[in-house]
Parts: sequence; structure tokens; C-alpha cells
Amino acid sequence: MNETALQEISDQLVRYLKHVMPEASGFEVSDLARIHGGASRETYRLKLSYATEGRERVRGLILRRDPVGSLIDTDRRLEFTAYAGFHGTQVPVPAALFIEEDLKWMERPFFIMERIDDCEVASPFQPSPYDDFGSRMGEQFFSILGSIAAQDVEATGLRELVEVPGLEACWDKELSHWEKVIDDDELEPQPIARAAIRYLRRNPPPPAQRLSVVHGDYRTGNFLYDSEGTIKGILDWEMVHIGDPMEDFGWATNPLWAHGTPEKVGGMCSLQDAIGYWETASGLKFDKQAYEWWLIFNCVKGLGIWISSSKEYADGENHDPVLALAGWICTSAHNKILVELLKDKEG
Amino acid sequence: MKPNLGHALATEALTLIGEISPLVAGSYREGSINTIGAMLMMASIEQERAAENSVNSITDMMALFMEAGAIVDGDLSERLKAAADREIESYLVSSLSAHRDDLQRLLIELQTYAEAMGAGGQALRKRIWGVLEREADRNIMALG
Repeated sequence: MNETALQEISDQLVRYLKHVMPEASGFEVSDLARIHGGASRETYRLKLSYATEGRERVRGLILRRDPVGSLIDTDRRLEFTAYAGFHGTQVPVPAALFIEEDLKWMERPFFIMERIDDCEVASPFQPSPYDDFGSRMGEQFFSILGSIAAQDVEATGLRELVEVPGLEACWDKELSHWEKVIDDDELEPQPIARAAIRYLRRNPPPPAQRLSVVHGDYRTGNFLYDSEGTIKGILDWEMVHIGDPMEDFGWATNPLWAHGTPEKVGGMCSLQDAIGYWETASGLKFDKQAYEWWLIFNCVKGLGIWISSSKEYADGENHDPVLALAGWICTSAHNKILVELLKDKEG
Repeated sequence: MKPNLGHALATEALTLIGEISPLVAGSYREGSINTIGAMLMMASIEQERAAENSVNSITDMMALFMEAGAIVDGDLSERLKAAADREIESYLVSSLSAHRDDLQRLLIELQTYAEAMGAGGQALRKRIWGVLEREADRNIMALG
């Protein structure tokens, strides 16, 4: 992205902020730069200076703008509502500030949220990123996941935006969704995914214990942590929905996210410890049968994501190379994990 | 002697990641350059093994279909036998991929059939999962 394009975004932002913050003046945007993160939207960091109530203020912000070609996408409001709904709870998230769907400001819808500074995000492909404080991080990570499961769905404002399944229908809604993604987007036959889908339909899980907010992509690599190993922000809520909380647990503990240490879920702690932290925070009881179903399901969901990314890249809709790379590495990894999970059950 | 393609791709990947990427450290481009470097590294591995992997997939499925053609009934049996007899027409990777895809579509059909066979299909199901396991193993992509 060149300087002219960045200047254009900066000017557009100032015009917008003058509109939504009429009490403030002297707006100045600095350090504006595009960053990686949340591949579904263009993400920028910036510093905003302004004056209000007679005082100068400086604030770090994140701008998330829809990519070209997704103007009818409604997920941005979902993501924004999730940030707003969890802010101030035990689930650390940046404050959601403004959402704008009128195209006159920046050609595409966008939202603005607070920036959390002095933190890191681990790459899922980085070996052992949490070496020094893995177990402490695991306790926080799975306790926060339990807190998401415990959150009153009504209080988040998400119920109005998404389909709410019955307790016994959560699994079918999600499996049907991801099966359709694979149907629509596969570039080549997927015998392992198809075998897994048939298995999941023949062996449904028990009904959800509770309808909860499901983050949808709760995993290593999607949170910010500081140099002391404290988790400061849970990010990437694009796939948030209401469903069975075991879905998130099965994704967070998927072997793909183990950073090469299969004995540690998320590269952080043992599965047994993770279960304990999650049960304490969620008030739910871990159910092995449900977990095994959601673990296999999440490999199918992962394949849906990677197949969809590959299609987007192959069609030229999105040139981000991370889509192709994920299609290569993660598809083969999830196929292998599925074979390991299913070959003795089915063969 | 000309440079080996895999070696050249891997060398240029390391140049991108080790020399060019640090020049734009901290920027959006840094992430993109590192990802492109990783893609080149993957391409260096894949160009070496792609034809062999496809041929192994094809022959593995053809052997399975030969056996399964004698076990299953009707139209599926005929199509399995025909697929087992089909010769490899070209060793271009695109042609091998298309051949493998045709067989994989039939494999999905066969496995669905075997799942409906009940206890009598146990050996066939086990045999199919063996094919799937080898397929998953040969296609693993890892940077390490």
C-alpha cells in the first residue's frame, strides 16, 4: 500500500471522526500502517490525537475495513457486537468504538476499536512460543474460554443478529454449514472430509448443555499477550455465533494448534488441566463423548476454512499469499489428524 | 549443468526471508514477504514429489478398486473394474491430478457403499482407510 492510499484513508478517517465526535477538535492521524491480522478484513493501526473538554488526548486505534467485494457481508456487525458485548467482562477484549456501514465515508463498511499496545501475537506455526509461561498462559486461556461459555447470551446483544439453534440442533447447524462450504468451494475431491462428515452424521453428539456464545476461532494466535505472559485481548471474533460451548473447546484443543507439542493443547498445558480450568470458569461438566465429536467436527470445519481460502486465492478474489499457504499446510495437516482420529473407529 | 529447480526455489525463499524481509521489518510487507518465502519453500518440496505422489495415489486406488470390484455389486462394480484398468495417459502433473481426482470421486462412492454393508464390509472399510492413511501421509506439508 503506497503513501497516497494511506493518506487518503487518514483524511477519510478524520472526516468521519469529526462527524461522530462533534465535541472534539484538532484531529490528527499518525503512524497509520496496514498490519496483518484477521485475514477477512483490512486491518490498520494508527494513533489519533485530538482535543476534548479542554485537554489534549492521544489514543491508539485499530481500523478494520471490509475487503473489496464483500459489501453485503454482515459479519462486521457481529464481530463489533461481540467486542462490545464482552468489553468490561472477564473476557479481555479491546473496546469497540464505532461501526459504520454507510459507504460515503470510506467506500466500504468499517469499524474502529481501541488498540492494545505492547503485546505479542504468536504465529500458529511458531515452535513453542509460550516457553517461559506456557502453563500460566494455559490457565488464563482456558479460563477465559470458560468465561465466554458462561456469559449470558442475552447480555451480549448477539441473539438479535444470529440464528439461535435448539440445544439438540447445534451440531447439525454447524456441520451443515461447513459441509456446504466444502460442497461449494472444493477444488478437488475430499475423500477424508467426506468420510468424516458421514461419520459425524451417523454418530451425533449429546445435546449442548447450554446455549453459549461460541467465539468460532478461539485458538493460539488469536490473542494478545504481554511480556509477563498475561493475556490482554481475545481477537478475531468474525465467526462468532450461538451454539454448543464444546465447539470452541474442540477447536482450541485441536492438534493443529499445538505448536508441535502434541502433549500440550495450544502449546500451553495438558488437556486434563485445560478441562479443569474450563470447567471451573464455565460451570459446565466436560463430556468426553461430546468432546470427541466436536474434535472431529473441528477438523472438518478447519478443512472448510482452508478449502474456502484456497478457492478464494485460486479464483483471484484475494491475492493474500497466506490463503494459499494455509490451503497447502493446514489442509494436509487436518487430513492427517482426521485419519488418526477415525481410522480405528471406522476401519 | 543447470541449477536444480528445487534448490533454486529454496535458495530464493531464504533470500526473501533472510535478506529482503528485514529491510521492511515491522511493515505489512514484511509478513507478505515471509509468507511468499514460505510458499517458495513449499513449491520446492512439491515440484520434486508431485508426480510421484500422484502416481502412488493412483496405483494405490487402482489396486483397491481391482479387489473391491469383485466384492461389490452392479454398476459400481463395473466402474471400479474400469477405473482399475485405466492407464495413465500422461505424466504431466495436471493430467495426473485429474486422473487422481476421478479415482477419488469413485473412492468416496465406494467408501459410502462399504459403510452401508454392515459387518460384511469390515475388511473393505479397513482396506479403504489404509488407502486414505497413505494418501494423508504422502501429502503432509511441513516447513520444518
